[in-house]
Amino acid sequence: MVSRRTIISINMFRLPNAELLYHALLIYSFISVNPSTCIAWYPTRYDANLLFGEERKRTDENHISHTAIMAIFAENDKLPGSTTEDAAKLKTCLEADNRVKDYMVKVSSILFDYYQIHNIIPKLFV
Amino acid sequence: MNSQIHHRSSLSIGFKGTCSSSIILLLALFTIALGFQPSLKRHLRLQQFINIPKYQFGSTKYQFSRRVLFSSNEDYEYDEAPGALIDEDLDFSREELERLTMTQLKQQLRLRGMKVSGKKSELIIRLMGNRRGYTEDTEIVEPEVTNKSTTTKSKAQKFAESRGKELVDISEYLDEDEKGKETKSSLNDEDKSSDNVDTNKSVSPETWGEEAKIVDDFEGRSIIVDNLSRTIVEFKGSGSTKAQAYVVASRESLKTFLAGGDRGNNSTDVSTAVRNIQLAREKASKVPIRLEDQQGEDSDDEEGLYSQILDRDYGDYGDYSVTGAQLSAQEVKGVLLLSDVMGPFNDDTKVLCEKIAFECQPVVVFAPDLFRGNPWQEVSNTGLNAKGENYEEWRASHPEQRVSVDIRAAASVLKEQYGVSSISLFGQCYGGGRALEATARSYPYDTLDDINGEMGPPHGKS
Repeated sequence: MVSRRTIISINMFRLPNAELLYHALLIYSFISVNPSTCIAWYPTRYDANLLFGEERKRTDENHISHTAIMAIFAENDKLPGSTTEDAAKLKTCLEADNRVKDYMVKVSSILFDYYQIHNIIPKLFV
Repeated sequence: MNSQIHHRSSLSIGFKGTCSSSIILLLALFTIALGFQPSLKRHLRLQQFINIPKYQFGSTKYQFSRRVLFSSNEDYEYDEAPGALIDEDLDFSREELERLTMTQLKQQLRLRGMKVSGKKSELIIRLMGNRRGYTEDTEIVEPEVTNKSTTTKSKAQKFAESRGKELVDISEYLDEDEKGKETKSSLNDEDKSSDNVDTNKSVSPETWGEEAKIVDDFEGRSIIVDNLSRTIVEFKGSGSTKAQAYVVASRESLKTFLAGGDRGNNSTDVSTAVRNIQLAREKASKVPIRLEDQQGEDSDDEEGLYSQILDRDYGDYGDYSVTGAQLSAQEVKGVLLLSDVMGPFNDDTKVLCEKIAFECQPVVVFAPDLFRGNPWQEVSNTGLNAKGENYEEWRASHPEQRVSVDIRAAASVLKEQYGVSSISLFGQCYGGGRALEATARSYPYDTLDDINGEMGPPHGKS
């Protein structure tokens, strides 16, 4: 694994294209929250096309994170990123992205309140 | 008869008591007399007699106070009170001083109330300078016997002389406003570096979670006995400023944090975990053979199949498969909970954190405050918050880049300080969008740098 200190030392020695190498290593190697699971509850203000999909797919198999993603939407939500159209778009993008190990996009007609969330949450982590 | 014996014994006891008290009294008087004895010669004689180094007779503080209190008109011998090490006390030659260790040299300097910092050569020069009447402490009143030419010399000149160098006066080359100002010298810098311990440790960019500390806990304030620890943790966030987070975890999950963190060295090797579980099971299964079992042994059991079965390892049957549930029970996972615009200190978010921490043990739920103490709080359906900002204005006050860095910094804290094996992202509303962005490794302006242009925190190690 490439350590951050190594990258700094590369910069210090001023190798050719060190700047590019630095950013390349930074982005594609270890710099990532790298979650095993992501649960987005009524997500807002994101662009699914920019985040997931065929275009964003990494070609390097070594850097695929294999994350499981779950997104839950409300039926009547009007906020950008949380409408049913956004849910459909996100589902399409997740389907095309090979970084995603598993996914589930659910549009619920029931508006979950916090107490309902509490009953569901434990089942997600098992 | 008995009474006489008793009387005698009481008398003897009384005599002994009187004798011992009189001895103590004499000793005390002798000590007091010695204490008030102004002669330094007497003091030195006593020192030779009982063979105690001279510095043990007086403290430096005492020496200074006596020197300042007594004027130079008084007797010189009296001025130097018993125990004071005057300049002439240094009966070491330069060669002898060079043979002394650093500790011994510093001890000699301390006795003379001088600085103890610096290299060995500097310490020797300081001591030698002391012998020649050179003092660094200007508050000390020098005796009148000292040469006038030396007293008129400035501190810098004395120092230059002690090093055998000539001091050049550059005051005429200075501007009017620069005259009289103190200037730094390389020696001063060296002194500072050796005197003061460097408390500002340089923080490695790999350990963003290093500064994480508990600033508040809810110990004793929770009405529910659920074995959970609720704390507010302060950690290094974007722009090298402090960010806070609401952290809930079972006490078992906090072992690593309480032990000072893991520094990201948590071993998550599955094969190691499987092996450990297997070994624990085998150890637990090795029950000693009971007496009745031995008595009932089958004599025809030539291969020892039945007698040795209790000692057999499970490994004989090949690799023992461990279920995912058993594995997950061995490691602490982290849940990075990104709250909605109400912030992590909202009651609903707090309850959600506690629910996850309780139901999914062992986990550490870490909810960073992405709004830095300024969550969205609408004032009675006016569409404005208390500052008169609408929602968009309020959102603009929380730049995406800062939020992104804070999320990564929080992940680093979970990895490095809490030693979690993996991180699950959980986002609600505003936090949901940020969770998706973090999962997709999307960064605002396509940069990982912080808002101040410095290197941002890593997202965690893969």
